[in-house]
Amino acid sequence: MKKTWMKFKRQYRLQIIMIIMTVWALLICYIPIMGNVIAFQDYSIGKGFLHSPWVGLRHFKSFFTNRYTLQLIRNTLAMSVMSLIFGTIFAISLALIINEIRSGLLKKTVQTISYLPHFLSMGICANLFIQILGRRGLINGFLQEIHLLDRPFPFLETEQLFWIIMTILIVWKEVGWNAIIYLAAIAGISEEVYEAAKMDGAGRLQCIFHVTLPGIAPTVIILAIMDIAKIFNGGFEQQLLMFNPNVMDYAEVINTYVYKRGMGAAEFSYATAVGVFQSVISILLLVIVNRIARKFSEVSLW
Amino acid sequence: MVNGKSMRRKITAFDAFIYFIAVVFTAIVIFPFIHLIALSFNDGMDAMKGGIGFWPRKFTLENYKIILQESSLFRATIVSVARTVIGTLVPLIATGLVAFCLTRSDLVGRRFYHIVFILPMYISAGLIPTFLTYKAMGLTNNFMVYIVPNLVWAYNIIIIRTFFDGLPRSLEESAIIDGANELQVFFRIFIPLSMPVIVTVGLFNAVWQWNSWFDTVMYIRGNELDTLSSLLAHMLMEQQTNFINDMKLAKRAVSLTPEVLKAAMTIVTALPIMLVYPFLQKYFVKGVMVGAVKG
Repeated sequence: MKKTWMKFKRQYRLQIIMIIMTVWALLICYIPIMGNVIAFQDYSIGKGFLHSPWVGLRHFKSFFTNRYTLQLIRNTLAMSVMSLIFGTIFAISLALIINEIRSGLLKKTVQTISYLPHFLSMGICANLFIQILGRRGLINGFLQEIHLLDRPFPFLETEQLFWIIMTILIVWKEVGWNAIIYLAAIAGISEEVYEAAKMDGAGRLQCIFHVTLPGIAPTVIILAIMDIAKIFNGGFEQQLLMFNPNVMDYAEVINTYVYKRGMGAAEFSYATAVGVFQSVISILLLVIVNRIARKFSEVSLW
Repeated sequence: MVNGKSMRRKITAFDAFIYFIAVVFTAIVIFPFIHLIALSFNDGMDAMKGGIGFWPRKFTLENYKIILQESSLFRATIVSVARTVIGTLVPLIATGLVAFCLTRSDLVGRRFYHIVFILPMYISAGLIPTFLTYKAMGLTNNFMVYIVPNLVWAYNIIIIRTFFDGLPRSLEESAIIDGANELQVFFRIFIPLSMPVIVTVGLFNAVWQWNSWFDTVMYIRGNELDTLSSLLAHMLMEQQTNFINDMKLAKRAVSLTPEVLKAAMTIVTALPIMLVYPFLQKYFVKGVMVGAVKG
């Protein structure tokens, strides 16, 4: 004990830094986590969370009996699953294509351009899509030019198209970035395996299907586990930015709903309850998916 | 067997197919930007007719002139730059110090500190409790809300600490024998030796700070602390903002339309990132590799 104290005194400079930063973490990260208790209260700013009355599960009940809840969950899951599936397929395909490019310069150019949109804000990317898909946009202009349409088609105001547009936006923005990790996985496959496959007479296409894809399967599974755990938490900025009243029934996801009910309508406790529900489901999903992955393959998060 | 290095391979149908897909993909990424640039240089009323492709039809610099003269945009640019510079440098020092302390094997309470700083990566508090806490602490309507909550990110600690762990101990030991204290070791030995990782993490933070807009929407009332990114987001969310109408009246710019204005705003917001991108993208890839291996 005395020895520890001596050590503590000797390293007082480091300890001062760590204590200050721990207080910071407490204020910025941990008190907000504890603040989730207001999900079980009727919180008002005047009373604070120490004096607001407890109401048990009332907000949860009111969320479950709300007739929009199913719609919200449907929208969230639909858009998350669509971006997960197409995002993974396109990222793997892009990695395979980049890997097959023989010219080093072209390879580098394609890759560099591919992850440019990842570094631009969602506002910029959303506006690109709004301009292109708008009534006077590029696509409508083109379709009218070739006489496929005689009148502009309101892509952005058609609710059936909203999920698809969101998926295209996310895949377009993130595909290059997501491909990096698969490219790293491909680079990790031993050259000898390819040599052996070639000895057996495999062509390039057969190499892709019998060597490369099985080789990156563990990476794909790990990333899928992490992504599936997030599907209940999916979507936010893009739905907020590209929202319009025409697509309301298909555009609202849990995250935007929490924001609008909490900040717009100042129903702090109700919005927090929805957020807590969302987190609980996400943790459950992580545990379940990890268990399934462990059962069917050797790959899992823990 | 054909040896790829000694013989020039001929382009097979498979290669041609790969190149074709690669070129189409690249075009899909790039063309939206070219279209928006064309639109931003086009006369507003003329653009209303539609049909602008990848080159302006009625060229004008008017859109940019009006944007660059607008005082709210000037202020937003200042806030954006301030937020990016301060919000990158201060967190770098804080994160570096925490990572440094966590690499000291003799640090009392190391395991506890480790949990304190890594746990937030896995659990986050949710929108509303975070907002209420920050409000109670006076962070709302305050420039500090751009800096203080982002001082230390678990992910960056992991990246920097991994790099620190790989540094040779010998230099440090000789410095300590010469009477240097821990902080001198950090600033004189660790920082200079760790420039690659510091630049990488700094770039990540800078891009993130420049692009962030939701914290402005969430924590800031009024427009004093708007950034370029948040102005753009406001323009998109509120369709027609007062901002556009004000500018139109003040400048009597009849041919100004929201479309071309938004296009010009988007280009102005994207420009800084586009400019540094070609030079610095190699760091980004290195960064994601380290994170992938460790994370």
